[in-house]
Parts: sequence; C-alpha cells; structure tokens
Amino acid sequence: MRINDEILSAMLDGELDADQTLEVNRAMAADPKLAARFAELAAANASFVQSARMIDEAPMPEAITRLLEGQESGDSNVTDMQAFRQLRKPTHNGGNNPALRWAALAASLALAIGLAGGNLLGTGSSSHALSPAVADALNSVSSGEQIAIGSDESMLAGFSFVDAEERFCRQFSVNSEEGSSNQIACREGEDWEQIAVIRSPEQTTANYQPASSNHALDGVLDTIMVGAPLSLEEEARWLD
Amino acid sequence: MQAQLTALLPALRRFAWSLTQSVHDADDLLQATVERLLSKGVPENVDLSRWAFTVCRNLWIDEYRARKIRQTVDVAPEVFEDGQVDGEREVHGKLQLNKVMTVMKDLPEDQHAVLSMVAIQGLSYKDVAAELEIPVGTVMSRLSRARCKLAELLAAG
Repeated sequence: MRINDEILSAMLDGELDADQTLEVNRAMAADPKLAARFAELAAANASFVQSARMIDEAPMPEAITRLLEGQESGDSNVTDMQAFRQLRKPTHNGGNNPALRWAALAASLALAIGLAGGNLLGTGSSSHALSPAVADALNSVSSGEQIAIGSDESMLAGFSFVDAEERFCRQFSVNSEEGSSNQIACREGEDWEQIAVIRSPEQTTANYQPASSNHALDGVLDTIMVGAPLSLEEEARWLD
Repeated sequence: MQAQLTALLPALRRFAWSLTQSVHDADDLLQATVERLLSKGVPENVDLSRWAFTVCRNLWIDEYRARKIRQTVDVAPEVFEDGQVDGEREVHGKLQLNKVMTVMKDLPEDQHAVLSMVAIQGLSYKDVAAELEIPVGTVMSRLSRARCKLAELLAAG
C-alpha cells in the first residue's frame, strides 16, 4: 500500500482496516516525516471541527427556538442537548468549578460511549494516575511522534490543545499486547491528570485508534478544548 | 419530532456553520431547515437525524451557495460578541477561525461538502458515497485534498 495523504486522511477517520492501520502505524514509527504529516492533517481536521463548535458561543436565534418551543413531546429517548449545553457552556468562572466540569464531562462521555460502543475505563478522576513513563513522554514527545514506553508499550502523540483552565492537554494513544487505548490528559503543575480513557472493544495491535474511540473522545474534547489544536511550534513551547 | 429536532439543533447548527462559514447564514440555513422539516415532515423509515442533515445540505446547495451571501471572512467577531470569550482565547480563536474560513471560502463545493459530512456530521465514507452517488475513492480524494489545503494554510502560520 502506498501511504499518501489520502491514506493518512482515511486513517484519521478510521476508514482503514486493521491490517492497513497496522501498516500505516509501522510506517509512521519508521518515518518521522510521515508521522509529522499525519499530525498536520489531524490538527487541520481538528481546527475545522473546532471552528464549527465555535458557533455554540453565539446564542441560538429566538426565531428558531420559537419554531420548536411549546410542542415538546416528552420523548424520553431524546437526549436533552439544551441541558447538556448549559452544563458545558461555562468556560470562565464555571470552567473552574470541578463539579460542573465533571458533570459536563460525564454527560459528554455518556453521549460519546453511546455513539462509540467502546468501554470507558476512566473519566478523569484523580484516582486514574498516568504512569511516570507516560507522563514523561507527554512532557517531551511532539505530536505525531511515537515512543516506546517500557518493554511492551508504546505511545503515539495525537495533538495538543489548551483547555478552559489554560492547562496544556494532549490526546494520545497507548498500545500494548493487551490492547490499545485512546486518552486525553492535562498537565496540572508538574503532574498529568488523566481526563478520559477509552478502550476499543476490539483489541488491535495498531497504535493509532482512529475509528470509534476517536469519535468517543469528541464529546470530551467538545467540553474542555478551547480554540484550535496547537501547532507544532506552539506545542514546543509547552514541552520540556 | 419537535423534541428530537430540538436535541439535534446544536449539531445541525454546527453543520450549517461548516457549510456557510457565517453565523448569520448558518442561522438562516438552520431556520430554513427546521421550517422545511416541520412543514414537509420526514419520509417513512428514514432516520430524522440523517434526513435533517440532508435537507440542510440540499438547501445550502439549492439556495445559499447560489446566493453567495456574506462571503467575506470577517464574521468571526459575530461569534465572540457580548464578551463571551476572554481576551487570549478570543485572539487565538479568531485567528484560527479566519484561517479555516479563508480556506473553506475558496474550497470547491464538492470538497467542502464531503469534509462537512465526514468531520462534522460524522458519516462514514460509504454513507457519503451513497448519499452523493459517487465512488468511495472519490470521497477519499476530495476529503484528502480539503484537509491538505487546510493543513497548508495552518502550517503557513
């Protein structure tokens, strides 16, 4: 398989099969330029998605809500997105309210898991500590790079961003023989706080898990991510 | 249906924004979509969510794209009015937003639609191919070209 931008883009969307995904992961591990290109495309895509999310900042026009109000059917199967938006809306003072933040995260994760069918391993509780090796890697590895962690694990850095509390945060995946996980963590002082971990129900030897797990993390990113992903230059200022 | 539509509004609004790149046009498009759905209903055995996005995209193609209204890229301030965003975030957000919008404004419609359908609506390549009646390979190609143009501009700083 010739690995070009189309293949990397398809990788980003989880449209490659397991063998192809493994092949691309191996190629990226061997070729830093290819890994950097993948990170560029991932960041570009995330910028586009984030730009669309910015419209949430503008109030919904009354003309539209009036069209729909007063006729709610009470359908219990419908997710209350308005309530969800109220939870995730505050990014200033409210963003510093841990209860509000975790309530919003829980809401978004519930939505995300429903979409993804994955297994949630953690939702950012402080009890989910990152291993020192992973934390070290998060402090030093640029997005797009893959690094061995111990003898049987590797980590691939996805992209970085700043959250509402102006913390440096990273999306990354960790792979071992036992499976792979897609994660988000934010740096608190010298420590890394694990925000979310989602493991695909299908174990794979692929290091990058683009399919369901990435969509599952979208809800979390939607809640905590401020602005666009950091460029590699911006990211470098946060790294050791 | 009203309750389901209410739940869909934020996602549908983002989709409208991704197509129009303007808050005003996105809200006009969203309103037209809601009006159309309420007046015409949803075909039998068709998922409302999927249908709502299709109606939205078709309206954009039929009316909004042709009108080419408010095509300037100077709409970012609309998003941040009323002091909803703090200073640093505002600057960073506007910068990124304008970059994205600069690319999207000049992106061919076929690439633009595919990028919105995959990245915002969340459709698979197979579903996009079926909806647009094009081969999956064409979906891949259009998507890749759109992302490359975005990456190029963002990398240029």
